[in-house]
Amino acid sequence: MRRKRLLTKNDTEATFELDLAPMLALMVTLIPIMLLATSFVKVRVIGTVLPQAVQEAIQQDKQKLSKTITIDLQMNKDDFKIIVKEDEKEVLAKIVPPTDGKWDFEALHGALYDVKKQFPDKYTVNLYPAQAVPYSEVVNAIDAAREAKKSEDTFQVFDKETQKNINTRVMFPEVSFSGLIGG
Amino acid sequence: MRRAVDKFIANNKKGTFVLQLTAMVDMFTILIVFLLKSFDTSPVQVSPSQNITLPYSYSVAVPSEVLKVAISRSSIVVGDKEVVILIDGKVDAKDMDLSDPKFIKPLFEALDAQAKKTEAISKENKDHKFDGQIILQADKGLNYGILEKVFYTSSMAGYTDLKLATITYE
Repeated sequence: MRRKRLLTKNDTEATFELDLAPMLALMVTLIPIMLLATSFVKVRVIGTVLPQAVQEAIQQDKQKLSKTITIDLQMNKDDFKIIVKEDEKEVLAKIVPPTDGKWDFEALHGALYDVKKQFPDKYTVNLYPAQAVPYSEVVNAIDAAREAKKSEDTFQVFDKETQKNINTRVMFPEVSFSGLIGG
Repeated sequence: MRRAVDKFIANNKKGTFVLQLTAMVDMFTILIVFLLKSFDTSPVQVSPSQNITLPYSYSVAVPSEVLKVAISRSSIVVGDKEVVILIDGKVDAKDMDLSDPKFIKPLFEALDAQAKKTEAISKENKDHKFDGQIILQADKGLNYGILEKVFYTSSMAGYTDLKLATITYE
């Protein structure tokens, strides 16, 4: 009983109030500085940070002279047309129809994924948007072409350094606006 | 009167109290953590230009320090200088080349001057190279028609590597 009373007494004596005023002063100074310095809208540029092996594969694709394969993506009023040409001969043509009268970017992504599976060494798509297509929709089409959305959808690229195949989600990171000259 | 003053002082003493700052410090700590998380540490800051709503993209590539071209519904700006006035997102006929329907004359002149300036600097400073890169900030509502003209004119001036500025999805 006496011990309990002693404990209670000691416990009460040990409590003290933290002086939070300096900490508060510091925070009041820090918060306006950070509010001024922080940008809530982050501007980025379209481009993909590529692994070394993928970059080498892209360079190889650019240097290939024989059996030229080109992948064209036509963006029309409300649909897409993918045309694959081999030495200027059309070998594949796919139309991605509109959904509810609008461009179907999910279907476009699926169609481009299938094309990439058939031509895994190709990294460039030539984009031909129609004049009336809004810029935001052009950006959506580029997004649909750049990389596979699902993490399990990967493609294999041979890495010369490690002598092993590496998996990458990169599909067509190089999108070039075509039809600028001579149109 | 004296008694009233004494009473006031006595009451006033009883009225003093210590502020409970713990809750406020908690709130500020959460706020600072949120602001630190939103803090952009990239070396080059690109602020969206006035009257331009950038499109959204999944891209996370950080912009580099190159020439910026901004296209709004009312103008085309090269660097900080307004070079072409647009009328509802369209180029006035007087600014177009009669023989070439995609060539915007004042834009070419501005870009060509910039290219020559960069080339002159690169002759003096070997670290500074002209690589033909542009960061293009364009309003998301603009039609591809005007962008095509800007792409074409830029490529004529030697700027062939266009980086499209977007807002990233968080």
